[in-house]
Amino acid sequence: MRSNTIARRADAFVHWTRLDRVTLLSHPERRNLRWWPALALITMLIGYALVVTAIDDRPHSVGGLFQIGVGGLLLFGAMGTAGWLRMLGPRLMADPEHKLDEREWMLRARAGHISGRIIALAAIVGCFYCGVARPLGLWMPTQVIDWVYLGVIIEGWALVLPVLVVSWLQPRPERD
Amino acid sequence: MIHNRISLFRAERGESRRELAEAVGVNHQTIGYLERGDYSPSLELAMKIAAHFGVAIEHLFSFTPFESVAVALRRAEAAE
Repeated sequence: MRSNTIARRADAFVHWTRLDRVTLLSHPERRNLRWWPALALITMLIGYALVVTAIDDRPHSVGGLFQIGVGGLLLFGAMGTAGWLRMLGPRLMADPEHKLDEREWMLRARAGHISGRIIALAAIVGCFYCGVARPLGLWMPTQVIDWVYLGVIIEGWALVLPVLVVSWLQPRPERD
Repeated sequence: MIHNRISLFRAERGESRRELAEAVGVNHQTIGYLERGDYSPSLELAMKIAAHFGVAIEHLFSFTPFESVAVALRRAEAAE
């Protein structure tokens, strides 16, 4: 009886964490994720800011190393979360059993377009910023790690931004 | 906006959204969006759904709202 209760609680915990939805045998009920992707995007930026400011200002101090560790944890934690959000949010890729239907293809195209525009706009603004940052004495990426992590962030944004866009484009689905 | 009577036909057959979705080859959430009028189907999908229910496409989809079942019944009673 007791083991039955423990098993039920373990099951409930797995359902609560939604880990059951990413197993090979499950058919995950995709849903709109309107806030988690935004949180992941912001966390990536915060992690990046922590890492690069520590590397530029105090790379060898204990405090600097701590800051780099926390920043890296936030940055790569958010990257990992972005991968999960792709699996739990609206479908953007066909799975072996279910192709994308016409509505999903349309949404995917619109989300890709909007996300691409946002990332392109951010890149344009970033170029303008880098153009004036040195003359004005502002921070800009100079070291290899600054640029590499910036690339990681762009990859992370490209991964999770379409999830955010699709989640806002489509209304909440109804239960069957 | 395109109005439709998919939910009415589906209810008459006692079909779930998932069953209809499998029959016409779309995600079951797409049927929900169609029924709510949040999504307008392609001609191909509209014809598939009409063929599934065995009715003409104009019996399922319309640019003007369909009359409710209650109104249709009252009109039928008045005509008798």
